[in-house]
Amino acid sequence: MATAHVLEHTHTAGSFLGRYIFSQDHKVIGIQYFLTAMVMALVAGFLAIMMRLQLAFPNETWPLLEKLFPLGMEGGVMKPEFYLSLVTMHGTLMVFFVISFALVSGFGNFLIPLQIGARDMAYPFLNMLSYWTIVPACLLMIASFFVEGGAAAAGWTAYPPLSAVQNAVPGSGWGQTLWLLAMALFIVSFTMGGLNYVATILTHRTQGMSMMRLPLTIWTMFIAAILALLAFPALTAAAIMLLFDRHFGTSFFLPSGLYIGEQVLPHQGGTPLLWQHLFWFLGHPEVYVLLLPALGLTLDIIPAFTRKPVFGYRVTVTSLLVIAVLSLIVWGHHMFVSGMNPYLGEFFSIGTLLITLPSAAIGLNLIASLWGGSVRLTTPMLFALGVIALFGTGGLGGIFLGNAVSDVYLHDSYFVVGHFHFMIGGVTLFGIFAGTYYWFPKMFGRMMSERLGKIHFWLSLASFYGMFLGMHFLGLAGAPRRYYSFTQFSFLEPVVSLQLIVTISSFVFAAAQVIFLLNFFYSLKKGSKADKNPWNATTLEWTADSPPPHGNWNGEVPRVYRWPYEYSLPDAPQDFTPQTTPPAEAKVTM
Amino acid sequence: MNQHSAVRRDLGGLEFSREQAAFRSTIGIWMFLTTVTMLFAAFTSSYIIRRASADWQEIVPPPILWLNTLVLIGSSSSLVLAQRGLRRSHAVSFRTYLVLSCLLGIGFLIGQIVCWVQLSRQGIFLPTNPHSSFFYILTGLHGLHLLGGVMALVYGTMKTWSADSVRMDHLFRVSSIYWHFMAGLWLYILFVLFVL
Repeated sequence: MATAHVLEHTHTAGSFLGRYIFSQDHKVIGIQYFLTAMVMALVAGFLAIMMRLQLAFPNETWPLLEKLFPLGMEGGVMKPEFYLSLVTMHGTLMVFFVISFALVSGFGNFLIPLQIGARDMAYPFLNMLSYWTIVPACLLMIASFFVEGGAAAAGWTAYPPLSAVQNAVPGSGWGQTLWLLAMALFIVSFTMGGLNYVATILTHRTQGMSMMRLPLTIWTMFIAAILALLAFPALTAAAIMLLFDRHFGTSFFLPSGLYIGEQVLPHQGGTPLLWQHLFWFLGHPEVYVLLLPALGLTLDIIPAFTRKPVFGYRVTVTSLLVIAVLSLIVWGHHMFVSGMNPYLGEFFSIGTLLITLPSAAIGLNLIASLWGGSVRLTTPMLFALGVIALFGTGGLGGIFLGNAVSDVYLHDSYFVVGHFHFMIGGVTLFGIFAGTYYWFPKMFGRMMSERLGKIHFWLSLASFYGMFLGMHFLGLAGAPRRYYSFTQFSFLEPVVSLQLIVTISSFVFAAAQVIFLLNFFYSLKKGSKADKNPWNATTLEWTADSPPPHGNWNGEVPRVYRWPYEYSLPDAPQDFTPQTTPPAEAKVTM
Repeated sequence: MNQHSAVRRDLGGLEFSREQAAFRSTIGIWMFLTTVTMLFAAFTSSYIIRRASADWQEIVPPPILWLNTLVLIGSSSSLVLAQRGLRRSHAVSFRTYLVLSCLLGIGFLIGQIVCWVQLSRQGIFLPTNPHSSFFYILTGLHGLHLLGGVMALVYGTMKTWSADSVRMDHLFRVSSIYWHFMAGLWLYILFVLFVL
């Protein structure tokens, strides 16, 4: 009786504004995040293309780009300081405003209540507030390109003194201030989201959904949310101190005797290294905040296309927890060349190499999940396999960078750029694509085109390796990152052609994403209708309508009797047994 | 029955007991306080590192700071008494102590502003030296957090006169956890600034 009463209440959908704009429905909010990420990806991707144009053709002029950025591209020639703005904003937008939005906020909001059997998040109002906090953040970031001096130029890591002295480079003025404000809004929003995830997963699971019956997506979201809640405050503190250094004359990060132009700055006694420690205390866990959910989605997608349970569920959960703990104490490996005590460096090296153990366990579980399965190479499955490939390749490079001895040579070279693009660029992006093709029918009630999806996958995979494996070799040859032109260095002449290969690959990659966008919007209108469970999968979201109504399930919330990977049970009537199937109909294995 | 369906509607139709709803708000507030803890932990480590520089000079706080501390401890104690009143269903003592607690909280904030004014009259401003920078920033951040707590308490006090007692119960419990935490955090900040 109570339930009937509730449904009646929640189904009064309200106006268009309440349903789609200021919605408190987790699914709408998830999709809002997803679409926002798509817009920001276009912006950030465009910045990357401009960087690649400059690096491959440093002597060309681009009159068209001058129209868009009259100051940065004066006369059609890119200014060095504008290149720094591009680097900075590409990194910031991709990490926080694309990957984080689509993967953690998008899929997290959409999937958590559906997969744990809840009607919504624990705090729906807070959830809406969290989305509407990032909208001004996005606008501030984009607006910063068009203020005096242009966008921030101190790198996505915003190292002082470039970020702390207002007239250090043009972007250190207004651009950096807007960057800090936008990041502050982002942190506030992400904190609200994180609180919601943790509270929802701990308290809103349906009957029978014990923690060890959670889909791995939910585990990774849960751990990512906790990591974010623990790590982001360090950046908040650092950002507050940086704002005070910039605008109110304090000296937290600025040392004495710093000259800008002919003038000595009044600041004294501060230490720029303090910023680096605080930043990376956030920055490193942030990598896992993004990486783990991508692995979670992949681990959930693979069983649906191998028709066998995921391998080593308990080992994976344990490994995720171990990674989370270790990720909080290894931030120093970003700072081996900062003059840190070699013994401290050794500590950070060992911690970093320890992380390879649980990571390798998860990698092996991913591969073993394929072993002996009847593999179906659908588009989501191809992207899931792509995640495994990129995770392996990127992880291999990480071993060299985690070791202080080799990092001293490779630091600030293209090797680093290649490595982190494999991890927080590739694993996450391919995870997002795998998730999009897989859950699109649940989100919008239609299927995406498989043919276009496969073209998208193969072009993306090939060009991705072209770009970022290429960068590994550039780095080994000694090419430093953040330089806007390499024409003056004779030692880099042998690898000039590599820059061209990377740039051409980036064009191919961009073209592949156009195919994805076409597929996405075409399928939204014209895709074939999806039924409740198009992939014959076992988790709870596939028991709801496609797309699920407000409140997710008509009638009672489903009850759970088994773990989420019950595929190919010997005595079961079908090769998949949904979590809602009672023990009377099929044996419960976990 | 009425109260129970109110809780259920709030939670989107799940068969939630009152205890589970309480669990949810407890998780929420403690996770939030965890982030607050990490924020001040980050400031503490910055403080320790920055203090090693040669330009470090200790400031002497105006005496009103100690009075403010007593006021805040008084506010927290008064809230404990209000909680006891609630447990014993003694409405008058509950409301009296709750109002007293709010007033003392507001008094603390006013006292903090007076403290800032006195300090700046001595010529000690935000950028004067690193210790004064930390003093203003840490007390300012604590004040902001406390302001949120005061607003929650005032809202809760107003609610005690309305009928929705289930929601009130949660709100009161959550905001008192927060309030006591803020009092503890204040003692911690004093310890960092003037003892450590």
